[in-house]
Amino acid sequence: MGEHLIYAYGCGSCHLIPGVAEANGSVGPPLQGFGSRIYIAGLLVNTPENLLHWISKPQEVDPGTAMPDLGVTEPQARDIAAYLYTLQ
Amino acid sequence: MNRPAIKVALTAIAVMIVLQLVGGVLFLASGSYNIAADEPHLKPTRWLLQAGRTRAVEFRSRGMYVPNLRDPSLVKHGLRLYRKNCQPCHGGPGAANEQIGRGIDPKPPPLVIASNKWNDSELFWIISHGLKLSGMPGFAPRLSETDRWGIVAFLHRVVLLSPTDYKQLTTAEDLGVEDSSLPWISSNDYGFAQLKAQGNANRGRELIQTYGCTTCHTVAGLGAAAVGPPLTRFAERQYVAGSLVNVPSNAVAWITNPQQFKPKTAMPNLNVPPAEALDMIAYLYTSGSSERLTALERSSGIPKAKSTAKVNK
Repeated sequence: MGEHLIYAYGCGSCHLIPGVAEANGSVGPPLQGFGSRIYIAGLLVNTPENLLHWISKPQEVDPGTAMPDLGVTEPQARDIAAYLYTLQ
Repeated sequence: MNRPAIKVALTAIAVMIVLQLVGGVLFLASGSYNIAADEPHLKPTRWLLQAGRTRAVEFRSRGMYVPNLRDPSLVKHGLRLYRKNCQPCHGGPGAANEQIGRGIDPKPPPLVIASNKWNDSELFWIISHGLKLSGMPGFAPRLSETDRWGIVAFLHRVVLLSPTDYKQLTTAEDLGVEDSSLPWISSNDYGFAQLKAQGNANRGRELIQTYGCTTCHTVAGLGAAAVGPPLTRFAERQYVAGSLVNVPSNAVAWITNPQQFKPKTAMPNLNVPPAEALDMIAYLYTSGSSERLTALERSSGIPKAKSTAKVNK
């Protein structure tokens, strides 16, 4: 489910995300090995709670970030996070 | 080989072609091919579409006259048209696209990097005519030639705009503010000249090890760590720290004092002197394709009378 949502929201237009179709963007940082990443956006410790916040409301976490608010709902953010945490 | 053998071989080939055609027609007629746009293309289909597209645009946009794209009023006009016609599908720096642009496959690419891949005439051609099998519509004749060049001019500018710059320009446009100090065209070279003259990649490689950058970052050829983001293919990365455009001057400023941009960033201030940061950037820029940096250098710089983009290939 998370993988399809990542595709559907077009996350791969900006990020390299292993295992997701067309996800080879280089606008933002690559997300390979995201499960082992310590920080999110350089500002938050990579916990599931913080990741959900970041994915659903990046502009609230870091006003001025290039990552847009895409209107990802919380259940959807949870599925997306679940996929990202499979990346080691 | 004797004649009857050739005859048999040719007949076999003809039969195979006919069978394949019949099979193809039956496959399409059966309705089992998934044409849903919310599922990705099969890899070979995507490859076929994209390979033909790039060549066709290059071929058809040759020899076009390119007007002066460094005209602030043209860029401003372009921003207005961009927001109305392009942003709904492609988004902008820090600005989301709308659902109309998400349910398309292939996904409409972020246009902040469009001028890295396509030259001026190619962009004009795509905007004018659209691209078959991609969802990209042609905007001629509803948008005039000046309108379409305005969008091209803006695409040169947007690649160098931070999300904050973009917000500033769009807000000014919304409010109808006339302010000549707004950054409609770039007036500096973003550190490219200095990088060329003084950046030493070999020294940068050593400095990256000395300062221990690889304790937190994966750096191509030097080490792997997952505290912060990987710096692989760094030359291709559009943003540094999520909000600065990745050009030499910004990347150097970030390394020398990250907290000046983000007081709460996990990246520490290691008191790196700017000259050493420049060497580090020179090394990081050796990772990935240099296409983006070359294009950015062309889009930056002091105002020129005429676009230097290649018109004839």
